[in-house]
Amino acid sequence: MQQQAADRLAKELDVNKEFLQSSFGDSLDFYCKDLSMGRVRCSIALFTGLSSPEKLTVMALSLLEQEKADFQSGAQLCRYLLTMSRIPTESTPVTTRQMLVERLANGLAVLLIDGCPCAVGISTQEMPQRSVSNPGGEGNMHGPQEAFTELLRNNVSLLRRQFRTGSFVAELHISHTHAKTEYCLCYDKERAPADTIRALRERLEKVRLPVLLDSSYFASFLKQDKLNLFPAGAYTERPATACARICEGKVVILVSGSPFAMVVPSFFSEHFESLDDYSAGAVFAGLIRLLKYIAFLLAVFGPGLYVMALSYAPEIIPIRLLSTLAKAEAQTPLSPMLEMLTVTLLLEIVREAGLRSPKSISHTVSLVGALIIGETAVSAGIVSVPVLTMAAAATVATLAVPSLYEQSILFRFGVILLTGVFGVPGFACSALLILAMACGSDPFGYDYLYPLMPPSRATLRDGFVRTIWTSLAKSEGEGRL
Amino acid sequence: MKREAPNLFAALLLGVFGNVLLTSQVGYSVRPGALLLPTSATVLTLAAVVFAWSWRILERNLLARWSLMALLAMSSALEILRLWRLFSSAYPEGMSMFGICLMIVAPVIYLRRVSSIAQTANVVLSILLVTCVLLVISIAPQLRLFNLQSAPVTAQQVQTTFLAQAVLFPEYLLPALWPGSARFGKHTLLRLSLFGVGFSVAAHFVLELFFGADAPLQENPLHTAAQSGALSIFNRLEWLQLILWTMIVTIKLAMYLYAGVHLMGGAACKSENNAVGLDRFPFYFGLMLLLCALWRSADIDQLAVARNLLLLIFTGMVILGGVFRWLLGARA
Repeated sequence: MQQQAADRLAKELDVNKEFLQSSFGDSLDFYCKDLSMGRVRCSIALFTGLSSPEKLTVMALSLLEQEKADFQSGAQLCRYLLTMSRIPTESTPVTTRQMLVERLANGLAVLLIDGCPCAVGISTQEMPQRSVSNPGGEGNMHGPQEAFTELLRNNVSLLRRQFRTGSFVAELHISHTHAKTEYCLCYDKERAPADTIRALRERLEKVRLPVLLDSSYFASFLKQDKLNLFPAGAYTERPATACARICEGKVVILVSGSPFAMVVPSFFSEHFESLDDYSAGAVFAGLIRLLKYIAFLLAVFGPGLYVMALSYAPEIIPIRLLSTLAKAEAQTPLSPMLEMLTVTLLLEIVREAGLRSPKSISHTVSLVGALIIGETAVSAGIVSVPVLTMAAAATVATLAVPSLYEQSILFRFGVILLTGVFGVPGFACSALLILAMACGSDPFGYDYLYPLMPPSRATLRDGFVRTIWTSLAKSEGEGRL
Repeated sequence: MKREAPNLFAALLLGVFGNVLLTSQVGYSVRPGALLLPTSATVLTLAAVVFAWSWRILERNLLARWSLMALLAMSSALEILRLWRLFSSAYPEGMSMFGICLMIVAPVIYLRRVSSIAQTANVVLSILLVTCVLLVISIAPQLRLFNLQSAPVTAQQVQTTFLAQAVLFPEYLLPALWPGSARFGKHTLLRLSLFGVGFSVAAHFVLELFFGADAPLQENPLHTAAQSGALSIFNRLEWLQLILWTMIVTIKLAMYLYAGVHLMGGAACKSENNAVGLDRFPFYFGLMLLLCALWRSADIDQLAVARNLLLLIFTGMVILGGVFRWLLGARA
């Protein structure tokens, strides 16, 4: 009770000002100015980087002067501003110090009034922001070409612009982090199952993090089996994709400061879908989707299968190819498993170096790494050309399904290691481990492999392939949660 | 798409199919097999139904619970040993028992929840059925209708066939641990025995079409048939068969472990509903390794016969115990 009382704004303006001065007085961007309105002493406070003094002057102070109202007391002024004035104020008064700090941090200008234990927030936000641009990581030929930005409210507006119904909900929450970062749950209240929303809300409410910079920070808390390597949610930087998922009854989590939205619950098949699938013809889209599944299998099992074939089961390789591979292997000192591991590791190092280095030299890093080191390693007889070819093919295949990149890499290393050490049983073990992980994921009680497994009409509707739009539209309900 | 109640029927069915495929050496002619199908299925169903009824009466009997646990542990070790022998025959070099044991038991860590066992069994069952179809297609040119035997059926053949079909595998006893249709669906035992015996007859039908009168005499008929594929897909893909067997055996083991934990009191770990706690895996792996090491040089077929006999005796004892308790007025 005592703490609550101490948190309340004081009636005296000087006490409230003193609190602000003690909290932000040393900050470069804190601005506080005294003024009078009628006979009432006031003080206006804002952060200059988040709120615009110019907007404040034009939209609030000059408007207030034009209204020419004579205020006798602070309470009268507060009531007038909240209920009668044309100034764009918030409808609820600021009554506590915590609310005061939150409003200031949100970019509002706050008018502190003498003789009144309330303050008024005025919408004068003007934050530096990146303009809406093309998505960098999700290439698509057709469809909307805009991406989320770092500002949460902008991102919500990007969704609402596409989702013009009354059932769209954008729930704002404050995370339990030191920085009190905001996050937002966006869903369609008519389509998203209420129990899923409730469960998600409860789980996120329990999350305690030191810092929240991206929606992916929540991922680990949403997993039922922490040993499972498959992701708990899908990510998108496209409002159009997020909108499509909301239409399917899913929930989109946006975090302030992050241009990536998390979609929950997410299914395995979603990693193989893209917006272009629905713009292109059904046959072509189906073919591309099947190719992506093959690419994923190649990325995960290709190098391991190569190691197994060469070390344990050469009978699966045709004789002519086997002699070529044997010749190449005979010239290298390492076993196929070590060779494959070395090359795969090297490719990952090159990728990481290219990704983290400054853009001006990242191309050079890639060139030096991939071409020169690869070429010299082959010339020096450290690795063989077939191994290099297989590893490169697997790396390229990984990029066909970028959202499962982490999993592809981890699984690939696991398959190579287990197969290299234990042979065919190792390959079987790794395949079953991956399958069991996929089957064991049940995000919010849903089958992770839906609609692929168990096989049903939905598998062909929009699973391994997609059907034509006319029948897709007819059975739209099947695609929802 | 919502997992309201994961159905473990696919896991049971996969286990029964695995038994048929991995023990198809116990050959019989297809004609008596087809004739005896309803009888064998009825006998199996009846035995399992009466066992389930008796188990409900004797459920709290510690001796019964520990006996079933021991039989499940023995069956698990037997499956690992059988697979080890298969691997050793296909790849004589470098297949240590420790490695095989580890590779079979490790994925069980991810199969400790009911939903994961159920869904993985669905996927592996689909793969198994697709592979069976591929196998039949690949050997189709070598299937001859005139290979089907038409000689009069002897009493000896009927006896052999019945003994081969009506083996009471642990899969027929497991539904008794979870009464009701929530875990396996309706008419579990009837469906299981019909599908199991039906699959056995179908497999022997294909083998008889392929081998003719020699089918029951083959040492490993399925393997031989697969390797003779006209389309040659299995000629080079022996490893694929072995991978499939490994998956089936692992799911069987996961199912047995889940049943074992249920018998020990059913308490899973706190955070995951219906799950086998991670802390039990080192003990489980150690136990499997110990049992495999003990029976390393034993004759697998004899061991399988002994297991089947023990299961039969156990079933009989439970049924007798149940009947006695019921007669004495114990509450079910």
